[in-house]
Amino acid sequence: MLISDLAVVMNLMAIALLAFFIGAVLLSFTWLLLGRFVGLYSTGSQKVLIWTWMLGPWFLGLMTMLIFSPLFEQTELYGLIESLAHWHHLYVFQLNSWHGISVILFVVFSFGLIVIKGSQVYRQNNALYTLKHFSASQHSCGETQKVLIIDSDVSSAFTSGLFSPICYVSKGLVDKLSPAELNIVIEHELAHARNKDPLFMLLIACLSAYYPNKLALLLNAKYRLMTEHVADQSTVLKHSAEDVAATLLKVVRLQKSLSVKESGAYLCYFGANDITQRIQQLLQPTKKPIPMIIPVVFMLVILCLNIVAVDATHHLVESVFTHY
Amino acid sequence: MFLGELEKQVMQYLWSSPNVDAKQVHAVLAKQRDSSLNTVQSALERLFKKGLLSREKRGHAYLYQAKIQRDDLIAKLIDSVASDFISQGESTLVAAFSSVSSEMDEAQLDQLEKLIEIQRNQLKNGNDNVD
Repeated sequence: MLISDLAVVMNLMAIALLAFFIGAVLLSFTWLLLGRFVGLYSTGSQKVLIWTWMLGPWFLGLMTMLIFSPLFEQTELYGLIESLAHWHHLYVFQLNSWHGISVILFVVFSFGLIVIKGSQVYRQNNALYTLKHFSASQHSCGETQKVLIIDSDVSSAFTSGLFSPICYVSKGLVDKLSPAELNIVIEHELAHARNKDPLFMLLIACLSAYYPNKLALLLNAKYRLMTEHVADQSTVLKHSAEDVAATLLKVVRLQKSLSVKESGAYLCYFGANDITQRIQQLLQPTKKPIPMIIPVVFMLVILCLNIVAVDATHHLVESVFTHY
Repeated sequence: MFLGELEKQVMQYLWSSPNVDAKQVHAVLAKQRDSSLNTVQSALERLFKKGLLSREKRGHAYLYQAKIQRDDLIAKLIDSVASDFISQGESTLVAAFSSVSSEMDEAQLDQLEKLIEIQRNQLKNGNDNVD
């Protein structure tokens, strides 16, 4: 049993963790209830909402921990909150209690997640490095960023790299597209590189791993679709939306015809719906923004609920399992 | 698929010169890099175990040749860039221009094509009316 400043630190971690999980549960339910309405808003607003959900549990955990911490013990606000919710053993911490075990499990899970994602980055970098060694040549596109041509008959175009993303277009695709169509593909990929989408997609994948798997996949797919919309929209500055949509459709047809002959040698992650949604968004873009006050007020309401729920859960569990 | 620097050079050489033994590979690569015969033998062994080379015993030595052609290896590498997320249903590290789903059939694509054509015609008619 710890009775010291270390006990306070451990208790604050346990509070943050409990608030994190209750926050994740509350946010998961809210997305299940209201998620269907998110699509009504503009791409930018949807991205803000996804980030709100991704960072939400961390924000709720941190804020709840601060509110329960002795930092504000002398303030009136602390007295007010304590009448509603409090942590009754802030200066005593038992390592072999449910608090200690949950902190250890959280640390182990986070460490495992970093190792898994790190090994993915390593494996992919190695594959890309080997790809460049065997096949890539530089393509001049009038920008400082580079496009590498992969000497291969497969039809693919993608952007990879976390801090200095590089665009890759296969020779097979270059040969089958007109100069204008190729320019659309390259503009689209350069937009991904400028926006550092691979890095943010990795962050989203890491943050969403703390949600239930089904919701995590949904949020990842949603965020990916938003990055595609943003990249599509940046090509519309130089080309007509119809030309971009037609090029997208042509590339999909090319990949579809080749995928039969060349098993697996294409990139596949979208559902069929995504291509439809991208084309619809190009032809009839949704521009309705969500007022910023809505996510802010929403998070404050969830925070209040969270504080009360942390206190209630803590008392409920400890009335069943008394640990000291 | 992890390939070291020497392994890449060995593959590159074997695509142009099949059926060679470790000594011949070493003789050529020694001009480019400072590798011992043992190191080259180990690289050949690793590539064989990875399924990228096949070999046949002639006398005391193995004759190696590439089991996978350059284009097929490139296709495989592109695939391994994507493989991390195919298995998990999420892509974390790649942003591709487009990708296809096996569920996306021709009828759906035709429908989308019609949608684009309708929009083109509407815009054209709108412009004609303005003129």
